[in-house]
Amino acid sequence: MKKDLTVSNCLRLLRAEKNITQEDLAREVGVTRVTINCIERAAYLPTLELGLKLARFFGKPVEEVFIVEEK
Amino acid sequence: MKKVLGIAHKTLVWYSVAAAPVCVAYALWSTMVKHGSAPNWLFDNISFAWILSLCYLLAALLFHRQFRELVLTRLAGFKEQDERERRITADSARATFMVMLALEIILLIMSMTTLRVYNKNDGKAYFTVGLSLSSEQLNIYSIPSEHLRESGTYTYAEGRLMPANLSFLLLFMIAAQIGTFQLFARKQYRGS
Repeated sequence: MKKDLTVSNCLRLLRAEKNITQEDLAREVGVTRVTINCIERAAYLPTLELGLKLARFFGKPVEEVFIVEEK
Repeated sequence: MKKVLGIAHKTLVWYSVAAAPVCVAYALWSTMVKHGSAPNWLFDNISFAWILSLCYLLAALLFHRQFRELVLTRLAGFKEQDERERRITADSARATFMVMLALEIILLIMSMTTLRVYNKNDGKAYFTVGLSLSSEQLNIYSIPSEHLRESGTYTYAEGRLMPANLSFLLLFMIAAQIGTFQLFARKQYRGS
């Protein structure tokens, strides 16, 4: 049986650890603040390119920033 | 050569924008106050040049890719600062295309639908509904073809479900297209 996959992320947590705002993070990875907000709320799933940029910014592997879960 | 054309394009765009208030004001003044007085040589020439620059703008809108992008993205309210906004624009443009296609089909059917209320001297009123597509609709000066009517028939009312008033139709289509796009995209652009 095919299982649905959901992708969550710990962006908010990582951002809090680094003590940076959504605006700062958005500027660093070249998107708008609203986009960072949407990613944190899991309302928008970023492209592979942006996902890698975010992971690189936090110095973590991409699978530690984005977590795939089976529904 | 390319540089010269670029400067000419910028000059024409600048002139058509800068001269617009002067020409509109002159046109209003001409219609309201000027009747009977001698034409103003300077303003007449400024207005004529403005009309020519507007003709260029319309052509540029179709053939000058950068100018078209600049003007129409503002008119439509596109936001494409990052990948999320580009995706919203793409999704909304797709949805808008579907809605507009449906609307165009409905409008086509409506413009083809003919209605007629008449009597045949037998004391009864008849009502007919039909579908027709003819080149007559393209002629805005066409007069209803009286000779095609049957003799002894009195027609009370005749027409199409949607009259082919092209200017109104185009205005409606543009407004519907921009409105539909905004309906799909606005909330998403804000992230809600």
